[in-house]
Amino acid sequence: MLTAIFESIHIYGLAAVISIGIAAMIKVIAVALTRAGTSQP
Amino acid sequence: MFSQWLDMFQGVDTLLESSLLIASARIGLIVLGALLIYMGTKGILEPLLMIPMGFGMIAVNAGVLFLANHQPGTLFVDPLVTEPGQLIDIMQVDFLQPIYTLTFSNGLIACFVFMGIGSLLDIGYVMTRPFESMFLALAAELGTILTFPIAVAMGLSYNDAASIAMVGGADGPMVLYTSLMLSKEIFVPITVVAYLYLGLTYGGYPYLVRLLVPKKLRMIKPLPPKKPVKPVSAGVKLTFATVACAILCLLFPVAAPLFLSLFIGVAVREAGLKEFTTLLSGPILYGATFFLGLMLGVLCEANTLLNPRIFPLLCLGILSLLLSGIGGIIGGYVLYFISGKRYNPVIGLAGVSCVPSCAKVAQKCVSKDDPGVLILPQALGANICGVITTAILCGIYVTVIPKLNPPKKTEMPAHAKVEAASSRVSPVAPVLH
Repeated sequence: MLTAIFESIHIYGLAAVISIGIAAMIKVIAVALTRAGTSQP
Repeated sequence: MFSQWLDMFQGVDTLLESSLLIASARIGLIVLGALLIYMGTKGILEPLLMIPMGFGMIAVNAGVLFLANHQPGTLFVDPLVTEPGQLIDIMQVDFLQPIYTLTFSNGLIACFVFMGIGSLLDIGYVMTRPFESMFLALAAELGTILTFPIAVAMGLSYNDAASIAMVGGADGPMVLYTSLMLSKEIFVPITVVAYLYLGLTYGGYPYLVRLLVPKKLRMIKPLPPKKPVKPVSAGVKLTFATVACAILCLLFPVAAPLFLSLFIGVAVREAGLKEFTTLLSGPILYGATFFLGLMLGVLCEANTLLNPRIFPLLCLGILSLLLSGIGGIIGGYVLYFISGKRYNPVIGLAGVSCVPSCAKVAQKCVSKDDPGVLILPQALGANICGVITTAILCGIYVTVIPKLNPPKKTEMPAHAKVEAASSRVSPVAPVLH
C-alpha cells in the first residue's frame, strides 16, 4: 500500500514535470515562430 | 417433440439448459442492451457508442448455440484463441474474429479513434494559454493518481490497479490501450466499465458542478485578454505536433502508437491535407467507433461479466471519474484565487480529457445560469491538454508499473506482452470465457 502511494506520487510528479515541460515547449515554439514570422520582410 | 422443437431454437435451449445464474445474467444483459439503446437514442448516453454496443450485447447473449461437444458458444468472437492454426479456423467461423484479432487485441482500433480525435482538435486554444490549460489538465488527473493506491489496497495487482485507475483519465482509447498492455486478463471488463461510465459523464458531471461551485461563481465571465491575441498559425501548430510527438515517443516508446496517432491527426489537419482530414475525421473515426461499440457489446457475454473481479472494477471506475471531476474543479478554484476571484472555476472540469464532452458540459453548466458567459475556448484548451496529460500518464503507467511486479512463472512479463501485442498472434489469457 505504502509502495503504491509512493509510486502514485512519483508518477504524478513525473507527469507534472513532463506536462509543464510540454507547456513550456509550446510557449517557446509559439513565441519563436511568431517572432520569426514578424521579422520576415 | 418438445426437445426437437428446442433443438431447432437453440438460443432458447441453451437458456433452459444453463444454470439459473447464467440464464438470469443472459436475460439481464439482453435487457441492459435494450436499455443502452434506449438511453443512447434519448441522448442520455453517447449514441454513437451505446447503440452498437447495446445491439452487440443483445445478440451475443441471445444467440448462444451448441457447438462441438455440446458446448454452448456463439458465432461472434472467441477471445480465447491463441494458437495461430486455431485462429485461422475460427476466423472463418466467427464473423467478428478478424476485427477482434487484427484491430482490437493489438490496440489498432484505439489508435484509429485517436487519429480521428487528433484531426478534430484545434490546438490553437492550448497554444494561447499553455500553462493554464496544462495546470487544469494535471489537476483533473486526480482520479487517475488516487485510484491506483486505493485499488492496490482493495487487493488488485499493480497492473490491474493502473488499468482501472486510467478510467479517471476519461479517455476510452487510452483505457483500452493501458489495459491491453497491463491487464490482458481483464481488459474486456475494464474497457466496458470505462465506456459505460464515460457515457455517464455528460449526465453526471453537471450535478457535480452544481454541488461544488456556487451559482455566483458559475456566472463569472472570463476576463478579456490584456493584449489582443494573435491567431496561432498552422505552421506553429504543426511544429508543436512534430516536436511533441518526437519527444513523447522518445520518452515512452511503449505508448508511441498512441502519440503517433494523436499527433498525426493534428498534423494532417494543420498541414491542410483536406482529403486525409476528411478520411480521419469521417470514415476512420466513425468506422472505428462503430466497431469499437459493437465489439464491446459482443464481448459482454454473461460468463465474462459474472467474473467476481467485476464488482471492485465498477466501484473503482466511478470513483476514479468522480475524483478526476473534483480534481478539475479544485484546479479551477486554484486559478480563481490566483486571478483575484475573476476566473470561472467550472472551466477546471474541462481538464477531464473526454473530448469534447467535458468542455461542452462545462459550457452547458454556465450557460444554464447565464447564457452570456462563454468559457468554451478556455474549456477546450484544458480539454485538449487533458488528452495530452492522459497520454503521458498512460505512457508512464505502461512503462513504470510492470517494473514494480517481479514477473511470475505463470505470468507473461511486460516486455513479452508488448512483443506479443505487436505480433499477429492474439495473446489472450483464459479468464474471460
